[in-house]
Amino acid sequence: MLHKTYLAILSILISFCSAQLSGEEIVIRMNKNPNPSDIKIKFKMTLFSNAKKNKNKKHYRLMEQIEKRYEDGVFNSKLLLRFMEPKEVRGFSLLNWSWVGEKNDDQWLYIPKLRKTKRIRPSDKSRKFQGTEFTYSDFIKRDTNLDKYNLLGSDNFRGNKCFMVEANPINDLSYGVRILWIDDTDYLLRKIEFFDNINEKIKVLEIFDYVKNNQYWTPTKKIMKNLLNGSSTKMEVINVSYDQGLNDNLFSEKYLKRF
Amino acid sequence: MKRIKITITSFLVVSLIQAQFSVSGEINPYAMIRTKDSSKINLPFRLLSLDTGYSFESFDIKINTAVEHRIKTNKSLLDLREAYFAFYPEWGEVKLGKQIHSWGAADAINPTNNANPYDYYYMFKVGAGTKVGVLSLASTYYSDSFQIEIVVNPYFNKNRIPYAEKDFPLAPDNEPKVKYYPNEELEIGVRLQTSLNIGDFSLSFFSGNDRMPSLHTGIFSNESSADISMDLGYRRTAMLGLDFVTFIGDFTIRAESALYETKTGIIENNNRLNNFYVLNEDVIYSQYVFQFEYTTSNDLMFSGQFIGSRTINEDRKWQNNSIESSSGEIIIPDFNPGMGTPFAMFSNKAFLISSSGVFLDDQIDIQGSVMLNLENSGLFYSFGSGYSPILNWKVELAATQFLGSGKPKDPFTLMEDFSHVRIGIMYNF
Repeated sequence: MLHKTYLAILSILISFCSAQLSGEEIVIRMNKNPNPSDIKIKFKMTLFSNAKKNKNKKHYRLMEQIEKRYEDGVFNSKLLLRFMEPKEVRGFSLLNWSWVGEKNDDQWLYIPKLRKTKRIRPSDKSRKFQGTEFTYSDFIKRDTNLDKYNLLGSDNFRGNKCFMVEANPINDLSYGVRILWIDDTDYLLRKIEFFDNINEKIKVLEIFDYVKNNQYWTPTKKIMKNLLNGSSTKMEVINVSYDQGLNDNLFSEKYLKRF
Repeated sequence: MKRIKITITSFLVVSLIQAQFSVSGEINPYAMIRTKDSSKINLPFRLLSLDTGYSFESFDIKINTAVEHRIKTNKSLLDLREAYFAFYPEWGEVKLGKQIHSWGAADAINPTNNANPYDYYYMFKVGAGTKVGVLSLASTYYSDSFQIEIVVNPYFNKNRIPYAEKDFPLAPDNEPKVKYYPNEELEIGVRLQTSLNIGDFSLSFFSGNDRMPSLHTGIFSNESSADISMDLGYRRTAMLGLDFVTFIGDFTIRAESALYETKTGIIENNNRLNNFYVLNEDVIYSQYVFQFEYTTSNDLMFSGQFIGSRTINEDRKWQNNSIESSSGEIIIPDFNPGMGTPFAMFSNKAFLISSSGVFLDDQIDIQGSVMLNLENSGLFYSFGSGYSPILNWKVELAATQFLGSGKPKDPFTLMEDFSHVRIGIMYNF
């Protein structure tokens, strides 16, 4: 009987504490989930256009992504994305350096046909990534300090009870408001609704599956839906490896050109 | 001895097991049909491009070949476009062999990109496809804030010109006999690039030989100054280049400028003829590209390029070596740059507007461009589209139309006959 009472009190305390969490605290908890120092992912993106609701699987992109995260220093992270398929764009690669603070990211594209590395405009991050419904920024972890968070309430997403947190960019016109669905057990991101600058909902990202390898959670299947044109892109992880001790040299123009 | 053999064999076996082989390429048969009379244009094209690679730890071997085919004669030619060895130490990269270098910030038209000659058969292509691979040693050192690249070409290399090609209106009637080849074949290029928060900036230098021959000597009749014979050669040219990319609002600005100084080499009058003259040239000229580009939220890209070239200073005279006097009576032909972008032959001032976009999940790509000759009234416009119903397969349709000023020697007028429609299939593997 006593045991049950303790449990009830504990449960009330936990729910009380949860209710007291602010939007920012929830996001911080989400970000406190263990992150590998580096990650290598091979994934497939399948494109479904509104005109082709027959789920034609032939239009897909096969990509490799390597990312290194920094605990200290001037960089948040460095990321390199490389196209494997379709063959026509094989070797097409993006290099992103994300700086600590408000300094804009640096981005370079390698275009094999031109045999040239092109520096691209940082705000191009809001552009679609190679015909998919994902943008360049969807591949890059956003600094928590760049947004102001507001807890809107709670909702269920595919059986997971989630906090709904509104993220308002503080000083970044290239981003609109986002509403994040973060589950209240593992603090994993389950869904994002993207709004434009006039507060019209434009895209929805739904994360269907997570896999826990060692202490790391990896989203293995997610779908980005464009609400304006009805198209969507499914992203599935084929394989992933963590903490390989990736060398800094891999995130350089030298390696960008080597494939 | 046996131990050495075992060691070498073990090394080779381990290398082969751990190495990565890659094979990729494209098959791209197409036909060019003249818009004027629906006749086929008989020019060679790259039917097959095959890129093979072998990577082992810090080493790469790359071999890029192409099969060039001519539909009318049904003849094919194997072209070893690149074959080089690359080593990637911690500090950078070293490449040795036949290779193509790419310098410059602007798209397609790069006045600073002179380490390789141009292949004029492919002058309307973009990137490495327009260039001829050359034997060279190249090394790049990368630091956090800058990179420096050095290119050394030990041998002289010239542009590939479509001589005596009736279907290419700007082609010379026949291949001229060039008498004077460079005394100094060695070519050296250096490029320093730095990345700042506002963009990338590069400074480049290249010292080499002209890629196009120019008039060097003439033997003239004593009475009338009419030429009896003329001989061509290649001048020595040095280039100083600057290119940068920066961002202003929603626009990306890419600019590139090159300053060239070209000089005729020393020519001896071995014939001891009194009427033997050397065209001594010392000319400074420049070429530049100013490009702005804008990409819409739905991924349509628009760009404008202002392309120009001009002669800044020229000292050109016929000189008679035997009596050390110059002749003002002999007509000096117009100056022709021997190094730099081939687009300079079309116009000294032009504006190129381009647009491209992809639709239906990248199944359809569309490009269009218009080049306006700002000196005369000529222009050309082109439209291209590709449709990819099956992954890695594409059907291509393109049209190019030239409209000249009406003047007979205007390149745009000459190219009117080249206006064509191109139909092809591309398979990537």
